[in-house]
Amino acid sequence: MLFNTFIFYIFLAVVLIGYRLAPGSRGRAWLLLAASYAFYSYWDWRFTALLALPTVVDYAVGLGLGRTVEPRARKRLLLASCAVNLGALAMFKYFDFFVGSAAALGEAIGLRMDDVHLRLILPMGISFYTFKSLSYTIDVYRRQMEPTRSLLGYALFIAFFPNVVAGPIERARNLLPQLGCLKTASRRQVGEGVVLIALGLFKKVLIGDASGRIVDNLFGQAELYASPELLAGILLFTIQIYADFSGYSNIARGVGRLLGLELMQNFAQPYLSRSFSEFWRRWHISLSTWIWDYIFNPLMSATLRRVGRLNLSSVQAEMQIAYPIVAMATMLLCGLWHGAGVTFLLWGGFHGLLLTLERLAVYRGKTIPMRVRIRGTGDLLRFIGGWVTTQILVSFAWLFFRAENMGQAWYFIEQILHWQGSDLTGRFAGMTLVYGSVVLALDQIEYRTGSELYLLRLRPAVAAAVCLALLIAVGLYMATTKPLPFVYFQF
Amino acid sequence: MRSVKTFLVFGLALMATLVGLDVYLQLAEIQTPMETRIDQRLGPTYIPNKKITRFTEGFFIGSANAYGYMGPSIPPARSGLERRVLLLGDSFVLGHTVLPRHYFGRWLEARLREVSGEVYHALNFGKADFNFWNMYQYYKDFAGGFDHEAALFFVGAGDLIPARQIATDLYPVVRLDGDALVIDRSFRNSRTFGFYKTIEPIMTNSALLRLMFNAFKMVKRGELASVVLDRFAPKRQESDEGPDPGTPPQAVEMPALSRAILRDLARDPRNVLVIQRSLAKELRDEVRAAGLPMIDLGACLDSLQAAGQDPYYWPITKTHGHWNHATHPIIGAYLADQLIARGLVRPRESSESRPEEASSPK
Repeated sequence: MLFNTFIFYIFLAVVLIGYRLAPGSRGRAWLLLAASYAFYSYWDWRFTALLALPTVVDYAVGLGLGRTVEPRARKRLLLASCAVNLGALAMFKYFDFFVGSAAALGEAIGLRMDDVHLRLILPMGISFYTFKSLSYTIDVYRRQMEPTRSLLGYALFIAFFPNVVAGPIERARNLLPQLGCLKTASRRQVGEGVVLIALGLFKKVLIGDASGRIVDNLFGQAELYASPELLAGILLFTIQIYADFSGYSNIARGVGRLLGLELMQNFAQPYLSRSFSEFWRRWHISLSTWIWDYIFNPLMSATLRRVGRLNLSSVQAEMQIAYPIVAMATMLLCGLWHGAGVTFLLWGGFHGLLLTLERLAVYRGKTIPMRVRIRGTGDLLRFIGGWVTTQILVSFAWLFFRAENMGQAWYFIEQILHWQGSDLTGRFAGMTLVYGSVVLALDQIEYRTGSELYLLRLRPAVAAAVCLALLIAVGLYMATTKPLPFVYFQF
Repeated sequence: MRSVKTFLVFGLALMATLVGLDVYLQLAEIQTPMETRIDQRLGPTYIPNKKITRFTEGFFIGSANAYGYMGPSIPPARSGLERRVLLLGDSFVLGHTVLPRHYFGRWLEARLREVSGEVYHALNFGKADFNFWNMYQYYKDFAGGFDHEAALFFVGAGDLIPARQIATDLYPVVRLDGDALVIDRSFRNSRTFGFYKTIEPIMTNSALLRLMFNAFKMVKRGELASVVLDRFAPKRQESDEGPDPGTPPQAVEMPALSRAILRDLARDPRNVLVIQRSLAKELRDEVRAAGLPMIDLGACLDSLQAAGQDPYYWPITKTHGHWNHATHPIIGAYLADQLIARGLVRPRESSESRPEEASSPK
């Protein structure tokens, strides 16, 4: 059930009515749990077992960790949780990729391997709920939170329908306490929810889906298109993936508000970033903070400990060795999280390289503030230079993310380098410019007002009218066009 | 008083936002406004130079030309040594599923140029939902006025035996008056025509109204339940496998009107009937009896199918529909070879080209 289909809003209306009528917090929790499993089953009921598995295992591991003080036993419990969660992820998402890669490597050195591909369907959202569940056991292991005693609450945390298939990858610390005392939404929350849903649908449907239709054609049969069209394809995908995913996150958060829950922000105007580290603080925040907390920081500490044995002259020298290794490893894992394929690895590796170069060569360890302060021409030129460079390289990296394979990515690059115009250059350039301008304008408003809920700063009648107009336009488009699934659903 | 003011503010903000969204939809070419206007003589015709973008099973970005048909602006009168082939038919001929440079007409031009050594133009007079009767009317009223060497009428069996003429309230109608073929333009007196004329200025300028119109058509087709209820919608009987490329209907008796049109077209040796899919023997005999030359695309499409390529399958949207990208060049080259074989195009004497290879239209 996609957020950009009418059936979802019928489902949501039924859930909201039931939620209002349900007796007490426990009644609401049961209702939401049933709704969440129904939501997930709509795609394929058999995979609900995969939702139930981390629920039961990590709930039990959490309780075990709460009762155990002996470090080794605690570590064993954590490893059990990791084995179950990552085992399922590995089997469904990575098994075929690694077997295929091993077979290709074997063939290269003259070994033949039998076809042992599992060809399993990737369960929707498996990477998201796996990470969500893992964060809980790690937090409990680190004693950053108390284990939950409520299996119902934990099951709902894992399966919660607004964010089960594509995030935000909510932390148990934030969501579990809210799920423990479910209340109906206040008037303010209802208003915020409607605004978030309207803006999210606009982004998803009228920017993401609309540009995605062109992107699908350009990437689907790239050999039919000329250089300007292929370049437009990369830029349009840059726009599509942001509008699609941030639109989804807005809708998820909006639905959360209608249920009286606050889900974390997932995007903060990433395409206004003027450096790569800033981009990663603004893009897919729930994933980047997850990676920061659970992969980057532990890896960095471990690496620094080892580098420390080298007796280098300064801490800075240690950082210059440790940071590239860790940044690259982390971003490669980030790429692999997105998809089992060489193109995703390359996308991650490219970002790792950019982060490293930026850290070591440009900013030398300085953190770039999230708010821009331009005090003179020099600042302005630095800002423009940083923004343009960042956005060009980020867009280039998206090519690898979207390409079906390395051959296709290379084909795009080759065609663009051997530029040949087309009679449709103007049309494609015009469309790209319009989509890009709208995305940047929306981000600018968000940035200036410091809120995604900027519409609520207008008069209530104006805000309501804008939301209604957005919903009318989106509704008409949805009624007449086949919906496109969210790009991140495949992860 | 306060509530009136609030209501006014709400209304104004709603209108302003809708106008803004309309402009966005048009500039980003997400939805183009209605690209046809109702002509007093021809019925709905493309607005000259109107930009058109279509997302169907394929993808089209192009525009109508200055004369109100698809493709490059080629005037009715010949300007030099160029030669022309007119293409008349329904949405298959219109080709709003591929970019203009991938259209079979471009491949046809390229192949003819290669073989004859002369500049050829294929003029696209295709129109969605047109049947044989509509094509005839359009040819007589408009397309036939363009100098040409050949006029190809693309039909499926359903086009020769149409259940009815399309939108008779908006289009001229061909009928038999005794033995004579008459084009009846009484549509200009219909209420629908009056209504369309009234709303034309906004329909041809508003993308949102076009979307609304599309939604209305979707409801009229009975698709509302499946759009809204998705899997819970009651199952519909007919399968939606895209347009019908001309599956022979049960009834094979040629209507008198079709027979008369065939006879009339046969008077001009430049006219050729192109069969999109094999016709029933009875219909084929009727066409032969009328004396109108025929080109059957059936063999050409079957050869594609035999080679494991479905000419109607669109891998990106995973749907069946019009001819796909792989089919357009084959159709273009096949038509060119058939025109040469029928003597409608003379190959240059020292031609070294091989008939099985069509050059690219680029």
